[in-house]
Amino acid sequence: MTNSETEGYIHIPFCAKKCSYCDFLSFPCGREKQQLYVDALIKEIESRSLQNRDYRMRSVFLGGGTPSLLEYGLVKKIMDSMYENYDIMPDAEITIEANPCTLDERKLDEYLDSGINRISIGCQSTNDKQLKMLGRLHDSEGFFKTMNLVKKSGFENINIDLMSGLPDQTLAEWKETLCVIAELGVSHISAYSLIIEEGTRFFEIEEELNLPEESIVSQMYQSTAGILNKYGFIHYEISNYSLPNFESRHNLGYWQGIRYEGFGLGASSFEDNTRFSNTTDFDEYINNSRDKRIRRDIIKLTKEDLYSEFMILGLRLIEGISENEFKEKFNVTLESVFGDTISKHVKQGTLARNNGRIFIPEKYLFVSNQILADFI
Amino acid sequence: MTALKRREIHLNPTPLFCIIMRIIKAKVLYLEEKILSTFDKSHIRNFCIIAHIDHGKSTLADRIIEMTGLLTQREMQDQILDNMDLERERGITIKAQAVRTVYKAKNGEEYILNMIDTPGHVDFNYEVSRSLAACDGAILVVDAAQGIEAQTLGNLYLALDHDLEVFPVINKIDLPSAEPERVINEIEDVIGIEAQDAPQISAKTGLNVDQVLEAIVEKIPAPSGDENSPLQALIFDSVYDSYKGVIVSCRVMNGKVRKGTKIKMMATGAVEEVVEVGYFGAGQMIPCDELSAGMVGYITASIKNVSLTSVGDTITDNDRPCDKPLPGYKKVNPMVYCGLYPADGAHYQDLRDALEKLKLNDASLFYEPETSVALGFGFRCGFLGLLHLEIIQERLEREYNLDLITTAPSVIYKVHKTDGTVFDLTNPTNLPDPSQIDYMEEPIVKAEIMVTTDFIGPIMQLCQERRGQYLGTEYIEQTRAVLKYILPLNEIIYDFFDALKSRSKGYASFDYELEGYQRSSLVKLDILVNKEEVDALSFIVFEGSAYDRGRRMCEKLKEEIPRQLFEIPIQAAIGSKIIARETVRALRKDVLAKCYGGDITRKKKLLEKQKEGKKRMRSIGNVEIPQKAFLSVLKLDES
Repeated sequence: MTNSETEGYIHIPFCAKKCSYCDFLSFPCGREKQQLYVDALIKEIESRSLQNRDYRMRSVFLGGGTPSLLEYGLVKKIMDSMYENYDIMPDAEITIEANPCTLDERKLDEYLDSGINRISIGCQSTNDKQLKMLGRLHDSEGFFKTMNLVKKSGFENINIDLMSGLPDQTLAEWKETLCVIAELGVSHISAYSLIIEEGTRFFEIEEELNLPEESIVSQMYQSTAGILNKYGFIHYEISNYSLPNFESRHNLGYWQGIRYEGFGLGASSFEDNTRFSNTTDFDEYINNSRDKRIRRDIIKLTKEDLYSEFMILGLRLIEGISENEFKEKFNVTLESVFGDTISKHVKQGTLARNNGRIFIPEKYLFVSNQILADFI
Repeated sequence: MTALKRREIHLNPTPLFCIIMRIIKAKVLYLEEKILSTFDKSHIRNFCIIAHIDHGKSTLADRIIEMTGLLTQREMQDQILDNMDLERERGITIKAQAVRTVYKAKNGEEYILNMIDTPGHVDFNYEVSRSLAACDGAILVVDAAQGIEAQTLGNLYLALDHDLEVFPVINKIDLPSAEPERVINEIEDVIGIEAQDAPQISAKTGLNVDQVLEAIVEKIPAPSGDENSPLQALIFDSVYDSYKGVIVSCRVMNGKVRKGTKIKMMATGAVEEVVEVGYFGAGQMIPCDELSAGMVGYITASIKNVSLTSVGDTITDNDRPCDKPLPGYKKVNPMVYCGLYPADGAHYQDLRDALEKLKLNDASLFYEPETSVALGFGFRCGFLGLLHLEIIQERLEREYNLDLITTAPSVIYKVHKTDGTVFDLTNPTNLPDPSQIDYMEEPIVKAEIMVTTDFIGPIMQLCQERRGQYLGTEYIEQTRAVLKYILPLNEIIYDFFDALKSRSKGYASFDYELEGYQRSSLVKLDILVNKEEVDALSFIVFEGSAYDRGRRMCEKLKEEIPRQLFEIPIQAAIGSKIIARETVRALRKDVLAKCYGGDITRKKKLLEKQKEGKKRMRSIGNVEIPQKAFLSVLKLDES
């Protein structure tokens, strides 16, 4: 009954410091403001749950920002409110994002007590010079210490975020990083190739950065799946790798077009084929989080939008999309909507078709925009 | 008041006329009284202004209109004669037009001044010659700093060919670099006309423009001609108006024409009944009772197409025709052809409609449907020259909102086949198999390049590279000379002018006229993208330049074609022989590394943008080629 399932995203916009590559909504913040924010968040959760009685929540994701920066007790408070107001499924995946050096035993215990069963750690690199360049507050030692704590605490589902294509990074360094992380016994690795986004510090100083050549960056990407595979990881999405059955359920939801409700400052939601995001104005949010008028950029998706999103999100997955699912979901054949585009790409080898599924062959994933743009 | 009322009945409420009413209601009355009463031929002056580009022709025209009181300064928009937006932006005059003003001279008498504007570009030389034929005299404007330039001479010779009385005016004397004395001497030495008492003016500020007005009255002869003879009127312009039909600008040489006259266009044979005659205010039409010998004005006769009223044709009275037409008429033929295609194939019909509408107003525009493997359905279009091409292209894009792909402009080659037949080749793809070709000819021009002596070397080198045949050098003064060359038209239509400017640091000026055809070794150069021939990129080239052109073409295409999923070879070939190759390397990274719930809208926009970019490209096999690649390869950089 996918139709009656929903996902929950909770945005924690606080960071001790902004990283050089980050274009997410986040800023530093003291305890009092945190308290105010969590209160507003809970108001929003309460108010929205009233309109969403029919849905069961299959995953919750506390993202940021740095959710692990929240003072003791606040995560529990948020999760209590979620349990109180939503029908969270017993096997729901509940994730919190954390940065090294913001965790201690007490916080980890609080998370586990709150029902959180997955933790995602923003490691990015194990090279101290690169960490510094990225503007991260931790060093590799800090990361390994944190990892020890996390493992000891009893978390079994652990994700590590890594970045490739960093300034001064070599192919050999990247491969080594992958091995080091894989050997830590984690269940999931997200490996992102650095994208310089507008509005970040890196964007301003891009010319000064000694970024590796495109061919090197491409080799970093192309080598990742093979290396991680040796440790049992399966490449399942453009930038995501997991041990069998440890794919991120929550994130899969985004790529499979599952409904999601985003709570908090700037958080995005997708409800009833409509996408919107909350205000990014902190004071407005604090004062009016219960009110629908904090919603911005409300976009009702047309049939064509939905077809197109099915493809551009679904094709991010290594297994691609299913022709049957398309038909079941939209009551029209994939062939009749995208037949020509698909044939063109299948003919030139940039899409593959197998057992009713259509997917991007591994070697073209890193240039997938060229293919996805044809489905807009 | 009665006159005004009558006028209102005459007028259709077109936007054009709303403007007339608004701007010069009062003046209409004033002017009309003048015409109806006192004027005879001796008080008419028909003249034009000739000048090198940027020497201030249009500014002087503005000032004359302003100072004769047709418009007040407040109503005056700069360069009122150039009423197409495009003309104004480019600062050049494309179509001839005429303005009538009334000037009260220092002798106390009032004169009608008919100022006929002439196009300022060699593409429109024939129209210039017809405008000149409508005049009795010409003002030669020379820039006080720059002196005589190539077009000064070109236009002057044209004017003298038409027996016009020419007097010089030295313009821009307010510039710090002005050297009026030097320029006066230059005019006397080079042109051989008296220039000591030439008005020294600043058209910009209006300084001494009154002297120009007096000189018009004194030096330009009144029109001759017999108003009792059969009608003979010269068409020097015609424009299409959706309410009135074709509006013909003409100079009446003999006889008279009025409403109801059955007129005959002698070259095209068209016969129509005159609906209205009148004259031009500043950009507006003012009807009157009749036009008689010596007058300049317009005629409307519900004519639906400008091709019936060719510039240069003679209008006569169908019931009382003249013996023979005025001399000098010729049918204007296109000199340059190219393919025009809608960027989006779905807009083919829109392009057809737009061309049809432009054609109503531009008899020299030619088009016929053609098909390209690369570009789909489009039109092969003929133009007077590259400027004409660019103007049409811009008007299509701007006024008709069309997104176009233009293929390589081509001159008309004469192909002599082995079976003894000859045909005009306007599209390179129609070149027959080499085994069927006996030989080919290409059009050549006689060019005059005026240049300061410092740059003679580089310019001669340029002309040599462009296969020029040197005819000679004439020194105008110690530091300036005119170089004379025969050049293949093909060598000058793309980028010759730019090259000339860059090699002379902007000091060279250039004028040319078509000379005829000459036999030449020509080959068809094909471009293959990903091993597929792109017909729209083929062109005819001199055999000796083929290797170099092919190489530069490939290099340029390599820059223009974005990297794609595959490696793309770009090759230039003559027949089956590859003469150059470049490779567009495969794209290695183009990915949205992260795409979660909050990213979707934004990331989708990125893909949409990418899609938009793709829309502006044409697929040739697997390869997408941007539209601009089709034209930019023609503007190959120097060396």
